[in-house]
Formats: sequence, C-alpha cells, structure tokens
Amino acid sequence: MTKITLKNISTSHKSGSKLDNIDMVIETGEYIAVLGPTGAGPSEILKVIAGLLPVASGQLLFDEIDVSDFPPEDRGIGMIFEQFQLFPHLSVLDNLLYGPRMRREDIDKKIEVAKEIISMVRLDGREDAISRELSGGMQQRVGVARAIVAGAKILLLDQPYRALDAKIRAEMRVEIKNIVKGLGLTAIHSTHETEEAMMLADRIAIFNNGVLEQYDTPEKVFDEPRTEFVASFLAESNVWDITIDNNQVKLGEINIKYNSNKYPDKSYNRMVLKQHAIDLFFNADNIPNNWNSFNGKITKVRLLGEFIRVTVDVNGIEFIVRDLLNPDLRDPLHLIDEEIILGFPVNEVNLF
Amino acid sequence: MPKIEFLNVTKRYGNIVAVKNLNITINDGEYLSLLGPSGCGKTTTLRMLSGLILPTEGKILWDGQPIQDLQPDERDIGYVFQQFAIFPHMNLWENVAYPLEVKGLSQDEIEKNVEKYLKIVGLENKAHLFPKDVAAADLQRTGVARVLARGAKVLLLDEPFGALDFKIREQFQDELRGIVKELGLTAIHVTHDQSEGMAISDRIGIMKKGKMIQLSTPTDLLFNPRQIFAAHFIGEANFLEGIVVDKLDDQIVVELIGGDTLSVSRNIASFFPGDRVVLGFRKGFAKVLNERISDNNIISGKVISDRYLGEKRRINVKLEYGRSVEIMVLPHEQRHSEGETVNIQILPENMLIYHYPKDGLEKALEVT
Repeated sequence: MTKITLKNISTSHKSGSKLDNIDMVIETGEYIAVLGPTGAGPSEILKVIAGLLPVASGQLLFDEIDVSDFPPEDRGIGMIFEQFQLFPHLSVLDNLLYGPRMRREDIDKKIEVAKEIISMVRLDGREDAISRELSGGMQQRVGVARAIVAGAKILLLDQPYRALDAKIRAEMRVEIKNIVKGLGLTAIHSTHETEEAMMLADRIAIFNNGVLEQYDTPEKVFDEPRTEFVASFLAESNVWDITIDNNQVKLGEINIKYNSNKYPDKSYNRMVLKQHAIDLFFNADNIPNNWNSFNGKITKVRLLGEFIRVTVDVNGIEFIVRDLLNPDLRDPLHLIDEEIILGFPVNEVNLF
Repeated sequence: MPKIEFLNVTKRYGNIVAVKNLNITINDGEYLSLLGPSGCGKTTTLRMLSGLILPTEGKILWDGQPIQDLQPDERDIGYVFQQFAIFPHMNLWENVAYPLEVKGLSQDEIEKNVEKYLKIVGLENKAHLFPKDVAAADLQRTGVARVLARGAKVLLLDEPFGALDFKIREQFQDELRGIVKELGLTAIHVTHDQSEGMAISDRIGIMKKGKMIQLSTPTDLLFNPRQIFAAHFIGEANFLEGIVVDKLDDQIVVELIGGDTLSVSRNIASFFPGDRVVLGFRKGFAKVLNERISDNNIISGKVISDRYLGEKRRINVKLEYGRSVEIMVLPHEQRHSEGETVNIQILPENMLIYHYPKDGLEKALEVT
C-alpha cells in the first residue's frame, strides 16, 4: 500500500554502519528480499526505513512524502524479528492489543479486527494461549498478526525464520508471503539464504560493504550477475584468476570456451563458475553440445542431505561440483579416486 | 576412547517426558550426531551424559560402568557450546591453561598441555591474543583446546558451529572431525543442521518428542529411512496414501487413492495385499517426462508451478486425483509451463513404503 523511495541514502560511519549512496525504489505491494554478508547493508536498510538508523544524507520517501525525519512510531511500519519480540507472559490476543491499548484506541473494535487476523494467521482457538507456550512458528505468526493489527502498511522482516526448524521455516515462508500479498502490504525481508530470497521476492537487492551491488528480479541477479561478488555470493562457486587467450579462458593448463558475445572484452581476469552448473559424466557421449568438458579424478565427496558435493582434480585445478543426490549414488563415498568427465555449459562461464 | 551406553533412559520434568526409554550405544571412537526438531530431547541427552542433569529412569554406562553417581567433573567429558564461554580478560593461552591451574597441575604440565592442544587446533601462533582480537572460529577452537587439555575423552558438542559464518563452519567441521579421529575421542554432537550432521558423523540419531526414531549412517538415513518421520525430516520427500493390491516375488503393487498404481521393490517383506500404506519418494529421485514412454511406475498430472530458485528448480504437479507432489531438478533441466501435463517416473527401487501410521499421516509428519 506504500511505495518506498530511497534517494542517495548514506549513513554515517559513526553509527557503525556504512550505507553508501543507496538508490532504490520499492513499488507498492512489492515483496523485496535484501541479501548480503552480516554488516554489509541488509539489516541497515531495514533500520533506515524503520527510522532506527539515522540518515547522514539523502531522502527517504513513502508515497512521495519525505519521512526522513519521522520518528519510527509515525511511519506505519511493522517489524518482524528472528527473536519474535512478544510479551511472553501475555496471551496472543493481549499481545495484539497491547499497541492499540497504549494508543488508547477503541478496543472493542480492535478486538474484532484482531480476531479476524488471528484467524488469517491460522491461530484460531489460541487467542487466550500464553505466547511463551506457543511453538516458534506460532510465535512468529503472532508477530505478523500484531504488525497487521497495529495498522502497518509496510512490513520489515529481519531474518524472521532463522530461529525456526527447516521444515517449519519452509511452511512459514509461503504462509506469511501469502498473507502479505493478500493484504497488499509492501514487504522488505532481510535474509542470508539465497533460496529464501529467490522463492519469496519480486526483486532482490544484494549488498556488499554498504554498496547496492545489484537490484533486480531473482532470475536476473542469478543468471546475469553484474559483479563478481553477486555471482559468487548467490551460489557456492568456483572462483579463479584467469587470463584470456585466443577467445578462450586460460586456467592453468586448461582452455575453457566462453560466450564471447556476452563478454566481448579481452581484459577479464577472474572467472566464476557456480558449483551446481557443473555436471559429472561417466560417458563422454552424454555431454550436450556447447558444453566444456574435461577428464578428471574425484578427490573428495561430501554429503549435504539432498545435495552432494564432489571435488574433482582436472590437471591440478580443483573443481567443486554440487549435484542433487542421485539414486544411483547409494554409496557416494566410494566415488573417491574414480576417473570422471566434468562438463558445464559455455553460458555458465562468468567473467569479470 | 570410551564406549557409552544409554539403557532404557528416561528423563521427566513433572508430566513432561523430555527423553523416553532411550537405548543407544555410542562406540569407542565414534562421531555421533543427534538431529531433530527443537524440544526433541537431543540436548537433554547430552546433559544427562555430562552429569548436569540426572536421568529419571535407566542407566548410563561408560565402558560398562554406571556413571549416574559421578559428578560432572569426574566424567572426563568436555562440553563445547555455541556461545564459546571464553574468558574475555584472559588471552587464548590463559583460557586453555585455566582449568589445568584449577586442577592443580604443575607449571611444566600446564605448559606442555596448553602448547600441545593449541597446536592441535591450529592456534599456536595466536596464543598471546585476547578474545576480542580473534575471529569467532578461533574462540571456538580455544574452547575445544581447553576441554582437550583438561583430558576429556568424550566431547559433547551442542550446536558448536551455530555462531560461525557458513564458510568457516564447513572448514571447522572438517577440522573438528579430524581432531576427534586423530585423538581417538568419542564425540556426540547436537545440531539442527542436517548437512552438518551428514558431513561430520559416522552415525546420526534422529529424535522426535524424546524418542530415538532412527540411528544410522548418513547414507542409510537418506536411502533407507525406516520411519516416515525420518524420511520427512532428512532431505525432502513426497508422501502418497494407498492400498497394497498385489504381491509378486520381487515387488508389491500399491493402488494410490484415486487410482494410479506404483510398484515398490525394496523393504517390502512385511507388506501384504489389503494393507493400508504410505508411499514416499525423494523429491530429487523422480524424473519429469513429457511423454508417457512406458507404464513403468509413472503418475501423471498438471504443472502448477515451476519455480527457479537458483541452484535448483521446484516443480509442483497436481496429480489427476487431486493430490500434489513436488519434484526437484537442476536448473538447466527442461522447464515446464503452468497447466502442462507431465509424467513423473519413480523407479520401484527408489520408492519408500510404510504402514499407514495409527495416528494418521499428518501427525506422523508433524515437526513441532
């Protein structure tokens, strides 16, 4: 319901943060994910929008109104944190009504609204439950409900699911996004997980060292990274120093084909190859056209649950491959020392 | 070095049963992880072994000898927590030396031990630094050196990598496993991160509501989960209900609710025609085919969504009779559009089968 515009926003180094000249527009009803290392910008952006971190220069607009000097309570924002931040001794309903009571609003009306929202976040029948006795997922739903009851038009979610178990986390992501979209709220969600960002966001903003490196749709940031940082941050990657020779990448003794239309210059010196872009083959006939392929030897295997990570030595260069666990690999640790063919599409070669 | 046994161990807090009738043996020199949702009893199990709390029932044996009556400091156990517990006013050397001084060791012995274990954890050149001047991983290395220097034979690790960045975490996992194996220690490691458990452990115990669900090697847990909850909790799987309609020599045939049939060829001995069952298959073990090239274990449906998530895609398919399944594929595999009819093939050897749970499927899958 609110469009947010950040115009040349910088924060002071004295505040311990270093956002540098950030320009971003978040459209009404958009769900944005912000990604980056700790301290690099994601949490700081949320704090600036919430009014918890002072702006040294630039403007923050909500629907064209400059709110840079508005106190946090006048910005119509709901914040959802990892630690829930509920009053543990109060019931679900009393947690929701705490704000309205403090603001001396008409509580009878608010009770009706609160009950509707409790139902929306699937906590029917738990209005009187004491919040500390609820599971983590339920407490987080109470947090979202509280923000909505308080009339938030913008939701800021700061790593909201980090404290939850993986299975609950997966359910909560979808559930909360559906509620946010259903109500037309504008949401900014800071996370460390690429999959969470890719799954939820209309657009993703990637920060490094206080600088906005790229702000685009999930497909664009993943497939067309503008910087080496973006390419290697979003997925586990192989990163090498390289040279370009005769329209091929030279990596040690290996020559790698790349898309020269995408990379017309000759001055590249770094290559990023995502681990999951590489496939392993036992038979060279199975390698698709327009792929690079090399013979190598498996030196290390690591099980990661649904994925497996395999390290392959190719002429002294270590390639790390991340693959979905395959039903043919019932004894994956015995792959060590196997000769293998490693391949990857020419288009997956990222140069910087 | 020691072998640890839990014999019928139960821990109750009033009416709440935190650990129920636990029977496990942790072998001499084994690296074992306990995995499970919050409140499943994994930390309570560690605390009982350390002596910080006592079991309500049952026995814990250390190389065959009961240890319930031993105080925590008499158990040769080292406890490593997520929060490091390092003294900020002492340098790393002093932190490692502290318990040895309390123990009353001579200065020579203290110096010998501190140097030895700081070297083992790779901190010999940082001994003079104070906690504020080193990275989080080095604080945890100091914590490990301190418990080793005290002479711990069993390491208890409660989410020891929880406060570390992802990249450091993996490196430290390898380091820690290497130290445990090199010194021949026995380690019990509590984590909620399944890839950590997979990477570091000889065996993993999956716990739920105080009970041990399955204790197996990592590959066995992935390929042969013996209970529905283990199949659900480790990795990602789809579950479909059905009835066994035929039993052949090497396969059984299950009719799914709605009419499709699927065959299963592994772990089928206890199933017979008429049994109500739950079939499962891992999301990464199914193939999505455009054409029904054969009738070999194929279910059909329409694509609801094909979401690109970077290193994988998730394809949601609504089956002809209403149920939905999700398949995981690598990003470069063929994309499917919404509404497209697809055929999902799961080979009989990749199917999982379970008796229908008495409290229902939803309850069996419940994580909280």
